[in-house]
Amino acid sequence: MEEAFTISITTAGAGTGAGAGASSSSSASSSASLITVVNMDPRIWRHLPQGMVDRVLAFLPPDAFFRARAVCKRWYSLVFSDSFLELHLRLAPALPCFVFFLLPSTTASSSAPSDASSPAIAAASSSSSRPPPPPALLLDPVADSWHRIPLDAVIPPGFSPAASSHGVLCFISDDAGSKTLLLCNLLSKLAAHLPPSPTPRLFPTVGLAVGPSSICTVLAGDDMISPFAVKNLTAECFHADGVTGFYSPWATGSALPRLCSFEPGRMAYAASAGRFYGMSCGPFGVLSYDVASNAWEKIQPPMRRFLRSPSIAECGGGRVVLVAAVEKSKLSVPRSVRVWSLQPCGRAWSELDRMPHDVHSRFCDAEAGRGFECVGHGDFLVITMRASHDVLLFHVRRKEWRWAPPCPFLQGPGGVIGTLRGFAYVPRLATPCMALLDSSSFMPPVGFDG
Amino acid sequence: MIKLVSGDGAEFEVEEEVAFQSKIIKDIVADADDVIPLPTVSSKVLIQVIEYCRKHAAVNSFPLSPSSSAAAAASSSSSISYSKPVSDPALRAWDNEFVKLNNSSLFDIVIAANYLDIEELVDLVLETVADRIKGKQAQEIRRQFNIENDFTPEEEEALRRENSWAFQNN
Repeated sequence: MEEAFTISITTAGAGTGAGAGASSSSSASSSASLITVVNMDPRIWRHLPQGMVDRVLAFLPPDAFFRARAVCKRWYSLVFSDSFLELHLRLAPALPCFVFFLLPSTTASSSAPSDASSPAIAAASSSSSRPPPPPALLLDPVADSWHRIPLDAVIPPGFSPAASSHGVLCFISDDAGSKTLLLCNLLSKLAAHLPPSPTPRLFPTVGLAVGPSSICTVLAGDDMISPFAVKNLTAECFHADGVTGFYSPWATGSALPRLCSFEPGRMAYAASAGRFYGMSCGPFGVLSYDVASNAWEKIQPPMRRFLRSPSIAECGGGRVVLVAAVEKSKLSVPRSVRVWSLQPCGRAWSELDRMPHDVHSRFCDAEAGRGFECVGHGDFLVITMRASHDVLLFHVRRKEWRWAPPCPFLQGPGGVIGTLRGFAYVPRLATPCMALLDSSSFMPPVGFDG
Repeated sequence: MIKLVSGDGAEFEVEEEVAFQSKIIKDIVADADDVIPLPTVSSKVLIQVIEYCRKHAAVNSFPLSPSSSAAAAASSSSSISYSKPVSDPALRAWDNEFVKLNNSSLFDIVIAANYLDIEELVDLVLETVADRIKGKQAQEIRRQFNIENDFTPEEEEALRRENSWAFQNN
């Protein structure tokens, strides 16, 4: 692991470095314990023993830690120390952030899987001119700050962001057929890949759940029944656990329920229930996959005939929520966006909140009926709209709706309006579960020469 | 009751559960008598450390309030134990008040807590120090810990470029 880290750190400099010249005022602090600017008296703190200084650094959130690495060579090299990384994982605050990728609007809408025709498959298979992966745009919804992390040195062309869990992002190969999943830590710039999945698929739905030493991935739907046609038939699960030694590479296939059609995008994972949840369209239904029993079931969504653009998301405490626009043509109900929470029984829903009128009118302007999606993390839900750079936040416990500050890295003249796809993300210096994927034991995936 | 004797000769009688917040004292009491000399800890610092231990012993000996235990249960089941355990919010607030001290008091407390092996108190102070430096630039941090900059200007520039995302502010 240490060796890989060294390599990745040196390649990390290949990024564009945009924004490095930005002003350096300290970011707004969220910590209640922060005492308004107290000076640290050097005559006193210079005597703090080194072991305790290291422990102070282990309490720093990742961005502050990376700034502090510029202090001296010893601090710089702390990221190469496994014992320090372990300490940092344990002590540093877990910041519930979101990562966004700007996807071309056409991609986001054309990946609707239901009945892909041959041109779509041909387009997906052609590998002539592939763009490099877009940079990750990191939003801390508590501090309201944005960061831009280039990924072109880590993720090869031909991979798209598909899922996330804690400090790990998952990218999937675009080529039709057997799929390769890359797991990536944005901060350490460390990437590792899973063995290729056996069943040929076009645009499957991906679910990811990682623990400190476990990885569980599910790949569902869009089975290629011929080179020119896809159907939603099966799902496959990759499961590795470093504690129990359980390792099951794509061994457990399971049949999807009849008449389901996944919406493009990722699944939500509720750890409390040990289940993945995904949205099926036409008619709308929520599909839930129980990892332990390897079985799927369908859950009826609320008001399903009047929903538009429904999304399933997971937020704090393993709560599963459904977010959708409600549009009845015969209006006794005002048009709005509603949030429902899945009840503990796992079958019934209760309404959590509705978008207030003023927020909804701005939302309508930005969304314009093109569609939107929602992802959850901790206390927050975040809604992004097709062909819009606006980001709408909902605080689940306080029931507060507000717009995130505009991303400074998407401004500027001539900028193409794309679609922001969001993922829940916890910035972590190290993600030990990735050590389970010892890449030397697998064949390198095709096209991975980056 | 256990008698603690500070470096300047002051004696403090405290209950066992208060004194046993310190792992060192717990070990000493197990195989010695009940008067414990602490020659490197001044009475001023010892008073503060005992105040901390008294508060934490009291909270730890009672079950958490219903709201916080529910929060703890929710958090332990939600994620696969990545995050720190949820502590009682009232105790957390008390801790935040407790560390509103000047530099030299904080420093003396962390050294004493380290000597007495009271891990929670050591971490409370070090986390406070981390809070106080997290918005600061490398140059200020160097001055505060009296650390020499052993990077060349070129190395420092490369390092900033490499982690440019952390230096962006908006």
